[in-house]
Amino acid sequence: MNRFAYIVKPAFFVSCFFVFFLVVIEIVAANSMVTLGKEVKSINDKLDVVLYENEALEKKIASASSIASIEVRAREFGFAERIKTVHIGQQSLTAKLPGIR
Amino acid sequence: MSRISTVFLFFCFIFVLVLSRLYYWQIVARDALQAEADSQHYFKFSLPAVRGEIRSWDATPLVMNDQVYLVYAEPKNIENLGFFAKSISEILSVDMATLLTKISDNKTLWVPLKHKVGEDIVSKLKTLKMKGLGYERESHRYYPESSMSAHILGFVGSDENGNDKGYFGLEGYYNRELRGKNGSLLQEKDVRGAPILVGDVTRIDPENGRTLVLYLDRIVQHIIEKKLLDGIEKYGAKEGSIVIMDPKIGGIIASASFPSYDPSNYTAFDKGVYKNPVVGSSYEPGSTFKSLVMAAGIEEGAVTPMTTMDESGPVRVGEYAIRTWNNEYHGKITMTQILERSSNVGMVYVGEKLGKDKLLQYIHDFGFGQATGVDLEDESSPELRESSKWGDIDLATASFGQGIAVTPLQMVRAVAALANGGMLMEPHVVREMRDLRGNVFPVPVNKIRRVVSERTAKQVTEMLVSSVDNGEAKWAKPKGYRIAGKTGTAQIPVAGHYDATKTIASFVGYAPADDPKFVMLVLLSEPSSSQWGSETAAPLFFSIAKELFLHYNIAPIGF
Repeated sequence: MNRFAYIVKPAFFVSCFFVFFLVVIEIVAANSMVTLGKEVKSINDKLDVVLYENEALEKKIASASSIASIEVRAREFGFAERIKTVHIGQQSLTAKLPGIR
Repeated sequence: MSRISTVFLFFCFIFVLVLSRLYYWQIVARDALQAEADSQHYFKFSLPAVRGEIRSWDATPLVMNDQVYLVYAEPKNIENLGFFAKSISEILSVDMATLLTKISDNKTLWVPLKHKVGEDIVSKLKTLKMKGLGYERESHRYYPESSMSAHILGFVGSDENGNDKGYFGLEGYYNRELRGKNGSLLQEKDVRGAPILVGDVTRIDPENGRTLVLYLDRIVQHIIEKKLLDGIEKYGAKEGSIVIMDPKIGGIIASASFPSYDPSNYTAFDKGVYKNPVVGSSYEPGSTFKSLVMAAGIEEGAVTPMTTMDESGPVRVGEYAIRTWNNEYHGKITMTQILERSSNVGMVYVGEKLGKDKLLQYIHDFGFGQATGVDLEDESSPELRESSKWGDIDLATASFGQGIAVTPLQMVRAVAALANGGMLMEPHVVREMRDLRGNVFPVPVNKIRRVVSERTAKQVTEMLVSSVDNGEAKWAKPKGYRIAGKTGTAQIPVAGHYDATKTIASFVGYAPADDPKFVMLVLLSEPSSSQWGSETAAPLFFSIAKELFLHYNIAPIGF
């Protein structure tokens, strides 16, 4: 009986302390997480700004690479409308003997 | 005793009062108080789905999304209504009196002031730091290529609830796939409005719309739009259309019609121009139809390319006399020469050899009288009269493309069947759809049916090449290329009879004839410089074909 008391009593106190310790940890963790909400909001706001900038840049790229823009800039760079097309064919690999068609 | 009873009754009365008040707050006003508590403890908002983009075949964007805002007011938080209305109305360019009326209603919690407001205007509003003014993100369509391919794309307007909805073209046909599905977020917040991470969160992610990738080649589209505008001006036409299709898979490479509109500002244009004439308007095809009737005659063995007939003069059909377009007659001519000279008399011969039932069967098999199934919202198909209502004269006129109404897309699809060896294809604008996760959903290529054999298709192709090389339009044809095609000059029916002065000039063809890369129809309505297709639509066709040969690196024969 005494031996039993020597094991149970300390075990009981250790368990209580352990539970109390976990409760304290949870309270501390929850409390610190609660205040993280403000940081999350701040990060989300920054993310929105970056996403918006991305969209604006995509729009600029699309506009700059549109056919109409390329046409205008090509003229500015001195490109002109094609007047004549010349096709260059493959040269013959063998020579033709004179007099033979 | 009576005093004790009085006090007792008094307390009972107070108790009943408190009880009834508790009943009111906990039962009757429960829902309203719960909502007010929720609004203090939670923030909830819709997570809008992003509308899908539309891209050309090389994934270059034709339609994107631009971020804009809905500007709204919260009347209860506005300090000075008059000052608020004056300041905001100037910047938003809305009527001050209307705005003042909207925000004067104290019972309203939230009033939308203006949709689709740009970032620059919102920045100006934010500098005012007005209480009771809020902004909600919206999206708005942006067109990097401006009004190019407007009829194909369609536009985005609003439905009866004020939500974005696509109308006409691809925006209309694929509205469900493009709009996606909105999500929502319900999250517990602290007194400053910041989210509580360990609190309640209910989130339904939005499902963004799918992106459409088309067969449309924006370079070819640009070429034909420019050429068409020039052509309409040069030939004095009232309007015009061009459609180009890949004959092997039915993909629409380019399509243009004028007059057109700007989809980013569609309200500034007459509603009559929203409909795409290529799929929604009908015309009588005229001599371009001869290629199909000839193919039917050859397929049925009624004629061969070398069969001859005697074109000695006009042919009588009942009380009518059918003449050639120039009233010239050449005696014994072959079927190939009928197409070269575009002889109406010759085609009546082919039609009679074919017979009414077979002719009607091939008209149906080539896809006329029924919708093509193209993925554009505004498609319609003129109906074909029942067989019993076709007389001899109808058979005769149909053989050279008059007395029958078709859409430009039906015509180009039918000729594409000759270009690809005899198969009628289902035309499509969209090649595939993509979602944000990278999944690709191809639109299947659909072969409807075999209309003619490969042999017949090849024979008719050679006849059409001969028609181009030796016909009225040979002067405009680019050298060194084999192009199969046919001119068309159809009179326009007005109030039951044909107008002698007005025509629809057209040219339909495909090239290179031996392995066609494209089939194209050019259509000019009421050209005033010349009524003939050989002098208007045909040179325009060849001018575009030259550009396409360069674009597709197709060298002339011998290189």
